[in-house]
Amino acid sequence: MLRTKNDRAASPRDAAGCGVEICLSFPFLDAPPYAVLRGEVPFAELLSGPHAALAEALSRHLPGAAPARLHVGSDTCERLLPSPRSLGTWIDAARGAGWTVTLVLPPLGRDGQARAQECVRALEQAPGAEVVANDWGTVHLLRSRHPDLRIALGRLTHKVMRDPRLADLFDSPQAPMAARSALCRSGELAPGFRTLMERYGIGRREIDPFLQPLEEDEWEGRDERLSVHLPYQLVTMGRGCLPAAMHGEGKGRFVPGGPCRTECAKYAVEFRVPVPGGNGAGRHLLSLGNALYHAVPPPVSERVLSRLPSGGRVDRVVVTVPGTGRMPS
Amino acid sequence: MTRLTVPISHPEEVEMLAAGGAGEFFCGYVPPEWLERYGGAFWLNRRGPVAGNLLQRDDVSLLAERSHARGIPVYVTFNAPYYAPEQQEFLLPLIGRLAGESGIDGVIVSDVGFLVELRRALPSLPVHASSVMASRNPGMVDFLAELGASRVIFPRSLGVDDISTLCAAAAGRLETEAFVLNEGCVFEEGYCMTTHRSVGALCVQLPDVPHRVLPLTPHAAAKLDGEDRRPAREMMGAFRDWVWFQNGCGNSVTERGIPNGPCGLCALFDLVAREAVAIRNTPEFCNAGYMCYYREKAS
Repeated sequence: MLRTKNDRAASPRDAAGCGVEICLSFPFLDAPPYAVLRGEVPFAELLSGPHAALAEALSRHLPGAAPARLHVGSDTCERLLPSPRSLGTWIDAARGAGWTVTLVLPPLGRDGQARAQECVRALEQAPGAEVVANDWGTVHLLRSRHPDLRIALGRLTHKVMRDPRLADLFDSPQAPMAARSALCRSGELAPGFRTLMERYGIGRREIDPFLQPLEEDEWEGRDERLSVHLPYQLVTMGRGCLPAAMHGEGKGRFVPGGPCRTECAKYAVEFRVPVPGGNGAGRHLLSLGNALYHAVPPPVSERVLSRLPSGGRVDRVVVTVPGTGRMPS
Repeated sequence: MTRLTVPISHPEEVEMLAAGGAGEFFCGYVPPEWLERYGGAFWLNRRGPVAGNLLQRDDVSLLAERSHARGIPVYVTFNAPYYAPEQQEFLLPLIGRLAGESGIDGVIVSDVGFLVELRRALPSLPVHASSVMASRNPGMVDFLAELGASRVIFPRSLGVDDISTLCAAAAGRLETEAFVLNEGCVFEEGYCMTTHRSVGALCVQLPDVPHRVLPLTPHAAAKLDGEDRRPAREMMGAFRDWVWFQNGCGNSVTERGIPNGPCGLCALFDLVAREAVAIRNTPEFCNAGYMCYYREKAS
């Protein structure tokens, strides 16, 4: 158990967690998780059920680690961007518990950029505050108006092949060496991308728990710090939203920015897709809001966590909790 | 001036497409060396691993020659979502030869880092930001203008009002381009890095695989057994329909040979010209609403 009423005084930045920060993301909650912040809900309990192995692995690799940062907002949906007032509530709740806050911005449209700026103004005074941006237009806007703001690049900007149906084959010994390499890395170590990272002062990049083992350089060959997400790997993001279609009507369904009753906070859809050469069990994909995810199996979490804390770049783990019930697998 | 940008796959198509009103062409080029290195596992562009692309540089040269004779510029697309560093090293001199020897007029890219490198290596070559770059906000227009892009191609998820806003932001700095036909992905292509290789399109596959709706809260679990049981079933039925429309209405075409499926012709009234709605003449599909890029404008 990583966090109890008894160990809440432990600092994740010092001894506990070996210097690796644990961050909790509640993309579909519209109010702060007060019970979690007060330590009334043990961390391991949040990950109970199909993700109990992850809780155990976190405890083993990062002994004493306790969540101390909140992600507010969604990587994929502008509708879930909090109002400045709501964000203020999250900031106050986090501060009261000794936690810090990261505002997560999805790829933004024109209206979303305006709303996001209001949020950033509300956030700027909070200690340890930072923003995750999931599109370069927002990076550009924020950097030009907030020179000192801590900006992290969101997982959607990390261009790596993501396909749970085939990812095991990306690293196949039968694959041509060049193809194998290109499928297990991004273009972020190329000079042009490095130029952008420097120009925009990006100190952190968020990264998914990819099924294919990323090349070592993809982790360590960069200057910025890394936050790694668990247990869900983002697969793709929709134009329309599947859960929102639940109470939609006719042509209004699946329209980008269409009617929404935040069904994403109540329901997910689980798909079981076939895997070539698999045993017929297929692989689960999870439609959470307007995006598809894959809950990575324990060996992948283990592979990611085995980098910690000795690996130099990863110093934060972001654990997503999609609901208040049993976490889907 | 508004022009029709048309995909082209072979020099023999130039005359026909030019006679049909093409104002400029874009094509893919996949050299044999790329296929030797990567097989079909890593597509050089979003047009496909081989089909739909030119495979010889001589064909690119011939295409450019024939097009230029009719006053039509040619752009070559290098719009994979990303290129690894060694792929960029391979592509930069290749693009240099296409520009210097084959006479292409510019390239289309998706990888922001590669855009920076291209501008540094070939500063006089126009570079268009592909729809795969997912340029959705005024900040992105500013970003691209600062990097020296010459055009932004809007993603298909944008509505007409969004496009109008971004066109205003781009005015005088970037050319703009919007889609009106084809491309059947239900996901946001700029953020979808699944592959069609071997397993087909994930979005097309989803309605036909086993699935179930999961409640995320105890309260939702109770509702799913009651009042939300039927809406949940209807949601999946609507999803199946949507995917079918997005996937070319069963890969069908009109009597005039226009592909069914994702289409923005009825929005041309707002985008360009009132007369365009008549070009398609398939009210049975258009009226369903699922086929439109610009659904808030659907007739």
